[in-house]
Amino acid sequence: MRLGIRRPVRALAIPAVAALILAGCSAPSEPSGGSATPRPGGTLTLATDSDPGCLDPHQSPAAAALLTGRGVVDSLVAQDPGNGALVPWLAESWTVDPRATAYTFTLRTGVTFSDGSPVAPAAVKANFDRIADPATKSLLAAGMLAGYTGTTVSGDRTVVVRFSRPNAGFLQAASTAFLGLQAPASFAAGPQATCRTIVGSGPFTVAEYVPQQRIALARRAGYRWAPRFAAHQGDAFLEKVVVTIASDNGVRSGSLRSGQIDAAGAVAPRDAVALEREGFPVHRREQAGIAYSLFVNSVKEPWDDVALRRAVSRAIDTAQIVKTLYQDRYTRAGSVLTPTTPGYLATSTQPTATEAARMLDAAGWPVGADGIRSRAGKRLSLRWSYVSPAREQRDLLAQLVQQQLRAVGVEVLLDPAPVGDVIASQSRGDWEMSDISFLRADADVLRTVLQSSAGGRPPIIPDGTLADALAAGAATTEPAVREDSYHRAQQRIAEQALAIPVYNPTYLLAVNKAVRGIAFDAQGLPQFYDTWVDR
Amino acid sequence: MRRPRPGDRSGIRWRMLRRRLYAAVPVLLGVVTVAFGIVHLIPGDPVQIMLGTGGAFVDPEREAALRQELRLDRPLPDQYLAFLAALFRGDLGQSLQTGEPVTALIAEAAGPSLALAGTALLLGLLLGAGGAVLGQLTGSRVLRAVLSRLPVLAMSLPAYWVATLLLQIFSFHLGLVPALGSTGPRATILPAVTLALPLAGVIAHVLGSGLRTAERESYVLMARAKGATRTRVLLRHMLRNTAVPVVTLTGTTVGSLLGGAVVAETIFGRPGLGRLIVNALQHHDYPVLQGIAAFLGVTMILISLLVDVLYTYLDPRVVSTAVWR
Repeated sequence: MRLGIRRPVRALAIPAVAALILAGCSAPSEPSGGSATPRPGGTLTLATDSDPGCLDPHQSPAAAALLTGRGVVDSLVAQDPGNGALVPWLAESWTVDPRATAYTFTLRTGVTFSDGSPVAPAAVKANFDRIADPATKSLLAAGMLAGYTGTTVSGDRTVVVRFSRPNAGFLQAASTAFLGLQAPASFAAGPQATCRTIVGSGPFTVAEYVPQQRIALARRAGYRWAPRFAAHQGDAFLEKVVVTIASDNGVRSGSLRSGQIDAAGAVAPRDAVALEREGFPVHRREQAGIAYSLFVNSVKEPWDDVALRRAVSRAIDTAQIVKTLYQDRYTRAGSVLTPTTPGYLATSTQPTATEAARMLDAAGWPVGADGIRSRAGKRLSLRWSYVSPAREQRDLLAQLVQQQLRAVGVEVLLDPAPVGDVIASQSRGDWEMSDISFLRADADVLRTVLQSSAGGRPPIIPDGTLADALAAGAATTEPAVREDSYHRAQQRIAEQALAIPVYNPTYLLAVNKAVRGIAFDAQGLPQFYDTWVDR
Repeated sequence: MRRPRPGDRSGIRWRMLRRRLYAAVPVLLGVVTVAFGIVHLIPGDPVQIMLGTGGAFVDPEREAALRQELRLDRPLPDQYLAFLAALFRGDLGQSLQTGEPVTALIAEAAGPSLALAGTALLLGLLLGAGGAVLGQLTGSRVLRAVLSRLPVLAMSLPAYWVATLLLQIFSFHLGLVPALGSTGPRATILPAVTLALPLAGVIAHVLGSGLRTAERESYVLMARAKGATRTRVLLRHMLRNTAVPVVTLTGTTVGSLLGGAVVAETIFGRPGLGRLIVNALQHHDYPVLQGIAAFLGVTMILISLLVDVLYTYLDPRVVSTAVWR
């Protein structure tokens, strides 16, 4: 079996996507005839699929909280969506000790929160202390601060953030809105208050939040500290951004068609095809993090046999999946990481059912009378409990995988279950096949999400070589060393068939022709700082 | 016990109401206890769901800290007693997800839900009763046949389909009403029609068949013999006699209109109790689920009281039997 072969996965994507990725998504093609100079003012109405429930990214783990939160809170550092590089934002510069346990940030001067208070060292300390405080009930951000021992203020522009153990992922984590800086005065009213409104130093402020209905952002005057990769500096162009919650796909695209909204977010691939045909520009960006992947439990018999796992991964035809289910609007995954994640290495091989069948024969599992392989009376089957209701048609995907594996004599028993059941069975280690994807623009996501620990949720079972590679990546902020570590980790995952990457989750944003300057952040979510409306 | 004088109905009504209110206390206790039991029986753990949503690895240390913070580490009987004690003070606790008071969440969602349910109920009654009466009065055999079959169709239309169709026609094509982002009167029309159609079907079906049966009753013959017109007999005599099952039906429907409007709320992007329930279920937000159960329990008890009072107006016999119980 050929392993670790580099494949030009980007070339599989249609040219528009490749162009979008290479251009850093900041400059989508402008329709001809329109004005090329951004025009300030106006309102952008956008319909999205889900309500974050809580607006505060310190507390909420939801991508929906990032969509609006990113415009409201700025971070110490910014991640360039074009190349994944970390560049100054609220921190002018920083240094990291060799063990990645102490981060010293020098803050930019003259930056204020929208309540007028300065973005000062004490505010940085207040933010990180708050996230780490169990009373905040942070669901994701606190995990990014793993090992946090405290922040010390040294001088009027400098803070040192300390960890008890290496946390090389912290710098990138600090660029996300999850660790974004909020005005300390807003913490006084308790965590539930910041669920309703957040106060940051960003180009927008929260004007209104009606749960399950809409979130309105208003432009903040006097914004002068956009990251350098932004298309412009100064105030945002849009006066207002109104994000409406419409969980039904058809309602979002219908509302766009009938002119009731300017943009439809999280568009279903099928709707994207129709909208493109009708002349609506559809912006797309592969999201950073863990590609939607399947996992076979490598400590459960008989799946501890690597030959069986390899055969299964060869039998799953991901090209067919992205074509039939996602109309090629999502791309085939080339690795357990998506191509927009720094440190990505294409590892996937061509699927071939005949080769998979041959490998299963060789492993000693002959096909039985009913077409399913068995050995010593035991059928070769995989029980797969997946979250229902499923998003991104993952229920249909599961059925397609079931058919593809059946064709090579492997039985898949599908068990759609509520999210609570799925998480519970995985926490007990009582699973044979599982699936996840995860949003985060740093390869350290492999360690935080996939690595096993007692009582946790372990899609990937402990593997010494993999653990070493991930630990090496987490122990340094040296880009070359990190890249090498994560390349090794991805190769190991592919070689051991610990994960079967299927597709790259892709954000599809359909807009009417008047909407210009749509940009995506490094995670792959649309941002509206550079956006303007040509009317 | 003394037999009531014919004019003493209001006093009897009050006594009946008081007795029903006393009886409501154990009913409510039962409702909240069952709700508490059921939500804790749902497989899965809120803390793991909160930390593990999206596939994140759950750090056991943070899991324990969060469990303690949310007071989910205490034994279930303790949690139950604490819940009852707080309920007695009118405190429904805080949402596990956002920490907001459950009473505030319910109050916020109940407004749009009540507006929607009220409008749907009104529309359903008008359409249903109107259809049944028209079917009875019309001389046209064809119209009568159509009106007697329509209710079954209306009842069997799936809400999802109706809602999508209404949106396509009235919002996306004709542009008459907004699809999204509002709970104003204009935005309430389509979801209300979606909910009213099956309700109208049920009402028309029950009332229609009641009226057809009543037609053969002797009191109808009597009234007609005394020279009353068909219309007068129908409106004055038959409708009042056949209204009792319709009132019962309407009463029981209100609960499902309030808490069960999930499909309409989701498609039309409206806030409401239905979506609050679904969201709380997905996150195993125990306090919110228990709070909504208590709220809907109280609402249903009040409605059944109202229905009982309405009976006494519709059917004098109810008062006389009630007093002898």
